[in-house]
Amino acid sequence: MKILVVDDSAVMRRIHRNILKERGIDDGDILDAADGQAALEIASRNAIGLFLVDWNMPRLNGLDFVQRIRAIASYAKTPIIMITSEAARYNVVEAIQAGVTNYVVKPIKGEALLDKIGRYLNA
Amino acid sequence: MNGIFGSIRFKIVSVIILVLTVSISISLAVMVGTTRENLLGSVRRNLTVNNDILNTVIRNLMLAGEAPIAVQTLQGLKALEEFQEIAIYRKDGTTAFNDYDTIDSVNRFQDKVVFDRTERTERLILENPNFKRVLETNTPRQNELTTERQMEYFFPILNYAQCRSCHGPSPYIRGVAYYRVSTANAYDRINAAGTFLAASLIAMGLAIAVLLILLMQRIVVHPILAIGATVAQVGEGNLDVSIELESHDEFGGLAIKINEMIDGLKTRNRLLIENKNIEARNQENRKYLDNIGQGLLLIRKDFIIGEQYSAFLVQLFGHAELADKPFANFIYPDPASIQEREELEQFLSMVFFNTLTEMEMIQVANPLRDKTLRVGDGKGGEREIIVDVLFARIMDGETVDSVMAIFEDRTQIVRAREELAVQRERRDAELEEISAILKAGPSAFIEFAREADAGLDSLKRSYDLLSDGEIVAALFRSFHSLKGSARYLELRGFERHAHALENLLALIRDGADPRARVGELVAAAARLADEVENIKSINERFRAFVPAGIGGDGKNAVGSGETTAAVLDRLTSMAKSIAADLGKTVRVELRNELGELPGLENLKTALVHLVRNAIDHGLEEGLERVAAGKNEEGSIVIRIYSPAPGEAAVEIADDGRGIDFEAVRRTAEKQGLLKAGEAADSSRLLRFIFRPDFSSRDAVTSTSGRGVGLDAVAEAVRSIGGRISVKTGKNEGTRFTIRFTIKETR
Amino acid sequence: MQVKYINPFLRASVNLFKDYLDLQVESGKPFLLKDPQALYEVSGIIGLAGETRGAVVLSFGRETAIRIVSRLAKQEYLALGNEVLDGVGELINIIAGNAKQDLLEFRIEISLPGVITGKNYKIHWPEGVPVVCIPFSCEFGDFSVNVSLKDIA
Repeated sequence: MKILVVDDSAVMRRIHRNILKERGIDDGDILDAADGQAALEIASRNAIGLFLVDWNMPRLNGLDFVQRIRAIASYAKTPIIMITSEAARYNVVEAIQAGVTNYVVKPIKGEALLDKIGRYLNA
Repeated sequence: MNGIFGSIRFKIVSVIILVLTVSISISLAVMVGTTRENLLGSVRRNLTVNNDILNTVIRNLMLAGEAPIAVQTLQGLKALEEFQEIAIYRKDGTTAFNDYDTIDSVNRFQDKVVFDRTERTERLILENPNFKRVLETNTPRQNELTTERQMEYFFPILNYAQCRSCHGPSPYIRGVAYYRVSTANAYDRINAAGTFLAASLIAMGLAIAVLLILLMQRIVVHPILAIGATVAQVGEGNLDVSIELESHDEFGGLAIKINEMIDGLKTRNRLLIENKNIEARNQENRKYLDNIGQGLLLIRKDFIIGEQYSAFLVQLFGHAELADKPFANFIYPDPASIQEREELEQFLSMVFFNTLTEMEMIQVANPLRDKTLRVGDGKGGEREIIVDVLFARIMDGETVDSVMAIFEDRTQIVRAREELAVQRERRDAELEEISAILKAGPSAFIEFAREADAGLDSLKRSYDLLSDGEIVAALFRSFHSLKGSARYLELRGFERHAHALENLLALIRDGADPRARVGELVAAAARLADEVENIKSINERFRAFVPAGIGGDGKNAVGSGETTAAVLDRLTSMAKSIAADLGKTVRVELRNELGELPGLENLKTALVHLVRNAIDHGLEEGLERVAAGKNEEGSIVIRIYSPAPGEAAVEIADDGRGIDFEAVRRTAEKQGLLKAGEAADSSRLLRFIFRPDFSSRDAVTSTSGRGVGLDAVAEAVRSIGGRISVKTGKNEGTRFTIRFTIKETR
Repeated sequence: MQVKYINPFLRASVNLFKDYLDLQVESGKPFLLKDPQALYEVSGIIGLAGETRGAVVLSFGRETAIRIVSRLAKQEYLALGNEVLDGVGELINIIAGNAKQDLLEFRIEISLPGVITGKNYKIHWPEGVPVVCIPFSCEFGDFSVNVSLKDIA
């Protein structure tokens, strides 16, 4: 199953990749994008099974990206985990209404992330 | 089935047999009768024909005059097997041709000898009633001799026209032909026929019976029995049967209907059992719900509370009508809480419909975590509770069927925590009091207790006089002072309570309605009174233990005196603790050039105020100081010296911000002490700060402090006949100097 | 320049290092930064506006920055490349995000201009306000939190 990590920070992309690899996921199954637009392109060319999406990004931010990806029939129910640095209430409501599945707060500990996405990984 | 005789089989078989028997019998009877009739009839007809033939023959013979031939014919006929007897009798009963009478009469009639006398037959006489009848009626008669199995026939011989020529003109009967025929043959034939018929009919009947029985069995009995057997099974409770009939007739239809009925019964049974199970589960649920120590309720898709909820909730919310109420209205019944209800409904909407999102994330937006609610208390009043509500989705496949809300009553926990805190505080206060008394000795506290009692007393007397500003100001001063003393004696608990009381008095002084605050004042005063009592009682016990003369640093046995060094130490530690409370660090420098200063006793309170002000209002926060190029640590200098002979001076100096003259000016203008724009030099402005009620809220610092208390200081200084002066520089600090004359003591 | 505005950032920094990077940090006595531009090689800037206006700048030496980000990403970096700078920015992001929670009661806007590096960068401190430096040290080296705030209200 392919996982798409969307985060404008190269370091965060690295961190997520490392966490996922530690869990046993193949490096080739981890795709990443630096912004929402690039992510949409990758999602259209690959079958993604899980999205990890940073909320604040340039060009197309997390919320807009989720709204766009949910509009695509094949991704209507794919799990999307939102990565945010604050858990302010209004943020969460927006994300829920856009169709996000769950969220993690930065800074993320590996176990915390794996806890939340564990059930979506079949590996 | 009631015994074999009631069984349908028996009935059908009986019916069939009966019918067949009857019909066979009737047929037999009819046929035999008919055949008999036919046979007899044909015998008769034969005989009649025979008779006619005989008549014709005899007549013709007679006509031909051949009587003897007639006789011979007769004899010959007699020999036939069939005829037992053939005879012709004359009217008078004698056999014809037995004598010559007729010949004679004929001859006579014809007047000639026509016929010769031939051989005669024997003479018989018939004395038969039938014979006589025939003679009378001129009609043939027959008579059955059943025992001999013979039939007698009597045919009248008429004197026909052709006969008349010989036998005379009489038209009447001449004689009777008598036949006696054996019917044995006929009867035998009839019997044979009858037997044959009977046999064949019976055989056929049997065959038909068997056939009918089989058919009936197939068409009627079997279906009925099958249906009956199945119905019997159903009657015993076994509903897993069905009638298997393949016919398309009414039985088949009935079977189908009964099968449908069985299915219906099965379904109904199943539903009944399910219902019973559901009912039983409901009972169990009810038990759980009634006994569980948590609140549970179910919310339906339309956000309305369902039928099932736990008894705990009824208690918690103080009213029993939960079912069918909209959840948001139940939580926020106040019509004015529209926003809260909307928020809650938005949340519920997410729980129900945003199924893409995990419940874990949706819980972040839960507005009912540790939420304070106003609810009815079940007696018509209101109370506040604190609840924590968790929500769980109950799924029906992919969609949310309903949501379970789990209420936890936190009120007790929170109250318990608060209570615990209060208890701890009380205990700490006591410990504190004990340690303070240990340190300073009981005597110091006697004075303090006296002061406190006095203050509380005057407060008690003034509850109705709180609209008088003077009185309030005086009360404020006294408790402010008490607070300082408490701080000095390290009675922090007392200090806090005094602070609270001080706050209330300040509010009233600044315009709050005293009547609204009296309750709180009374409560705060009560707490203080408690503390004072505690101190007094601990003190008493100490006095019992500690022999007179030992206490504090041991130097002042009698009287409530402390040495100057002790006072200075106290002031130092007080300064450090106040600083620590405020997140500042302070260095206290003591410069005592005079050693023991007796008058210091009376200035203790004032010094406490000044030190406190210096740290609280004078010194800036660490980082601010660094930004201003100073040490992070503030500096307080306490100096005791003699500025002139016979005089002593005590100085408290800090290196903080200095007094903000602009702020003082503003406050003075606000209080009407200065007109706007009116000139005022720094010394005039400085005098303002010693005025009572000169609020420092906008004056010295931007922190919301209250009355600096400098008026109390001024008061204390005046009471010992001294003077107080201030020196201050922006960003450099402030120095208060108290000068007074020293009495020559001892 | 009140501690109530600054403490949240100090707390967030210490917590970040302790919980997230597993690094113990010790703070030293704050002092006035005579030369406001005398910072370490890598600086992450957090801008504040509202009740108070100014900046909070976290400054790291190059080696320190590299080692800190290496621990963060669980990846050995050897040079001050884009990913390392990115990492510093991410740390600043997290610190600012967490500090924001404590600043909710004040009217403060936080902005994140970014991370700058090099020998000759200049920070635009608010006019006429001194810069106070709070030094920290940890296993990977020294860094500092530099604050300059002008209270408006």
